[in-house]
Amino acid sequence: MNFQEIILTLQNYWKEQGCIILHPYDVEKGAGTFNPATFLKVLDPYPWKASYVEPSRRPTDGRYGQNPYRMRLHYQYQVIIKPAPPNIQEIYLRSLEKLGIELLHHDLKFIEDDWESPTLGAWGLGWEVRLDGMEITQFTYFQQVGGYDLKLIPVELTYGLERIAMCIQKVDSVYKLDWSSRIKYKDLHYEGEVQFSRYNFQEIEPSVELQLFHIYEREAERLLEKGLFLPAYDYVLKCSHTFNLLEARGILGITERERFIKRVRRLAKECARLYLEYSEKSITSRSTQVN
Amino acid sequence: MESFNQALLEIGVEELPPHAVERALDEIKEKGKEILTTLRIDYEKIITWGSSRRLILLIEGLASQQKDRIEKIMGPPRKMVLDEKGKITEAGKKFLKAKGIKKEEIGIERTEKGEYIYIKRKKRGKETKTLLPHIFYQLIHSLNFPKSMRWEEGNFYFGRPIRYILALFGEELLPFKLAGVTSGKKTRGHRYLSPSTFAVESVHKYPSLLKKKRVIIDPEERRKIILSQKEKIISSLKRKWPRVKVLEDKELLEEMVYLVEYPTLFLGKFNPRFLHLPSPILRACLRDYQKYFSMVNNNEILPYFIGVREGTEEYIEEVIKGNERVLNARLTDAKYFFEEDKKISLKERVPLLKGMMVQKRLGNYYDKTMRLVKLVEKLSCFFNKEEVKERVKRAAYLCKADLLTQVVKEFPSLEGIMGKEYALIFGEDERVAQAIFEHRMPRFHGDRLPESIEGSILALADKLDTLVGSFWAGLIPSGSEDPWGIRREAHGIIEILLQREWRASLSRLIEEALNLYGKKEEKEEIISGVRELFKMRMRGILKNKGIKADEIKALMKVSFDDPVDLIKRGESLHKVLSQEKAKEEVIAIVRVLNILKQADEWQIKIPEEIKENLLKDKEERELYHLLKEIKKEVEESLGEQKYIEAYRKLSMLKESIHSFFDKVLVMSENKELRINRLSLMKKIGDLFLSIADFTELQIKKSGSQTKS
Repeated sequence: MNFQEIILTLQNYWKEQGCIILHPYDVEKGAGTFNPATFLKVLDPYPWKASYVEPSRRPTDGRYGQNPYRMRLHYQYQVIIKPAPPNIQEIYLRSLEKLGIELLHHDLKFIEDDWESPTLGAWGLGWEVRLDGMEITQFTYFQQVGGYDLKLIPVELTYGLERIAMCIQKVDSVYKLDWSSRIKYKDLHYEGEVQFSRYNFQEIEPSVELQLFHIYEREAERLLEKGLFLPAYDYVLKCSHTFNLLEARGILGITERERFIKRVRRLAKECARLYLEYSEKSITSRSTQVN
Repeated sequence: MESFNQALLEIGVEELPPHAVERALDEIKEKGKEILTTLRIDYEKIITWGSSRRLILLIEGLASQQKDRIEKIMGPPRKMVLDEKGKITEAGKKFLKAKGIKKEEIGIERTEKGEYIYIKRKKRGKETKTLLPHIFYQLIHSLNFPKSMRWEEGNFYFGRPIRYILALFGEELLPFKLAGVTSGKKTRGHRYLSPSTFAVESVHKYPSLLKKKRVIIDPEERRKIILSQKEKIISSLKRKWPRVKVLEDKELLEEMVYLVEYPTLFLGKFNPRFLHLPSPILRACLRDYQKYFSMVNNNEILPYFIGVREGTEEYIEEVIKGNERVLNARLTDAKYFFEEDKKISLKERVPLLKGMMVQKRLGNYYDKTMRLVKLVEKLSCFFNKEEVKERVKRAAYLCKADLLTQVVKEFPSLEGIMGKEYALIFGEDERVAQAIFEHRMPRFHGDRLPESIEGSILALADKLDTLVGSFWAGLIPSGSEDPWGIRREAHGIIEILLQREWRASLSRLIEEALNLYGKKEEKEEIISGVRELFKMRMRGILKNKGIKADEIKALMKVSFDDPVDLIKRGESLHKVLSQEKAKEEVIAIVRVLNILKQADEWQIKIPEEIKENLLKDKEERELYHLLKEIKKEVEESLGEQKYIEAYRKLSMLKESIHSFFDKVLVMSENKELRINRLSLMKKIGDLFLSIADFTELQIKKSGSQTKS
């Protein structure tokens, strides 16, 4: 099964499970969790089922295209279901079977992995799923997001698409993956890895990014004051990505790092607060209309 | 009474962390025993089994019924019902009739208010079967997990979601509902080998049934399987490497025992070119990340690993290939980093630390390095040798450089550890390398402490600098929050001082560190803020040693500036106060200290010297002479921190102090006498105050001494 077939198979499978199929949210981010379809939608106490591909940028993971499975950009397949169905583990395992992974031919383990995103004020308990020692999925029951205890507990599944593809295609490097029957992963992504690694580690101008961080932060604050939490959240994402760039450039120490994270978290929390306010209001107004 | 009933509880969960399973099983056993005993239900044996997917409780030889119980119901005063000869009074007859009981069914109990009648009522025990559902419910509710979560609308907390509950008494279902799950007669087989659910007809068929469904429920059995398969693999390697053995790793073994329900071990290999990697890197990749056992031959790591598969031997070749692919990729990554790192020596990296911020207001790691080099010199009170000083300074200069290496960026837990490796590669002194290795210890609560002197000094300096610097920059922990790990640094400092038994003045240490940060107006505030953190920690340590709250207050009132001394005083004080006679002694001491407090309030200046000629009364002369006799010895004991000895000698003054206060008026109208008597008091008081401020102790009216 090639890379694009893997995506199509997962989309079909999760569509059948009742998920709406969304598309990547077009602001840079480190993980599918940052997509508002997850970060904001899990906050309210109403059911929600969605899934989407999310290109995830982690500048520090760049390896100039030299590492077999580490890249500064990889693809996640994200599933978010609220409330979590009681047989979600079985549903998940069936999705692997759909991908042609015979469970009896492998070693599959759910290894404790408690997830935390200090930037989003979020944490949850769950596992990383390992297939023959390779981490292929992050499986998390969110408990808190944006600093709020969640009323309905969602489950988040994050498939690492390249890693799953490596297992399925039995290759030892992402660059050897077939994207389609004619195009290799390398054809599409190798040069990007080389150039962005150079950019992230050598060419980033720290003073420019620091300035950008401040600008994005101020914009987010300004928009939050006006109650515009959606555009504000875009700037939170930009802050987060800029922080990631600064970190890749290696100019932040441990303490300074904490301080930047805290600043992003404060903004993310404020977005969460406004979203909750909005969702309560919109439900009340909807129910009064019905009456 | 028949006693071959069996009851079974299986809590079906999504994979619990292995370490939590072990704990939970112990807890189920203990709490199960407790509940059954409280409810007076006899049983022969309680067995627990389980894995990350299920927690199992089996109770054997369970009584069918709860034991009967005699209940006492208090009635009227005795004399209303019985006369002096024990005969029933008229009122008594009415009472018995009203309650519908006979004379034999009453008893007499002596209370504070006199003798009372009580009614003996026999309560028949309930059927065990009817009690068990609630017992199981209660048991599940009472379990604790290091981390717990919610997953359903009832907001129940557990280590991981509960998905089914099997609860049987013999062949009967024990019905109850918990966390949205209704108990039933069904269980589940092995997740992959036998994934269906199936009914359990009776408790005694359960173990064999699960075995058929490929679940080995007994951890002990799984442990044996893992160990014997390990032996088999080892013996297959013996031909090539006669002295091969698996590196002992109890923690990993237990993790596997509880993680996997049907363990099968396999042998994999990796490219020998990775053997040149330093062993901490190999360990991080093989053990910490991939959870493999490693093997050595004559202490040399072999390019093999043992993994544990969940399942049988079928298709194991594919599993091995997959694991080898992953490990080789991981090692390739690590090797790439390591080779890159070796291109620049630690020494060359130090100036590059300028580009790495500690924190905006705290400057960069180069600044920090420079401060550390100066600070370790200031800490020279702990060592006299010039060569030690040179080594510590060298280590201080190099210790942060590994932060810039790729390996440490990839495996942050190897900070310091890689610093040592790189230091050795670039020809640094072994003791310098060791100090770099130890300079972040203890990294977390319960971690190892530095073993070398050089390492201890550097670790102290590093922590002091972080701690004081954070306060200096206004990054002060509030409430329970400690985002910058500042409290941990304070704890580390105290631990090192205590372990080394280094006498130090915390205030001086703080001041030395603070001076390196340049001028700041709020110097005093910062010092007292940091001192407060130390104080809290010391209070915790004293408390853990069983020293009572009022004792701690009494000790700290005097000083907490020298942790080693504080602990010695604390242990001594606690010991002497736990003796019966201590109460009288403390009262005497407090009499002395109170009069001094009064003098202080009245702002009376008390001279050092006692004028012998002014000691008029017999009692004060006696006290004075006794004091003179013991004073030198007491001072010697105090100097040697032999506080018990000092106290014992001082407490010989007890009788004389009491008679002094009973007979002599300290606050005499004659000013000269008054001042002189206060001087005598001050001499005695000061000696006691070198141990603790005894006025802070809470003396109970009766009983020996203090309350916590």
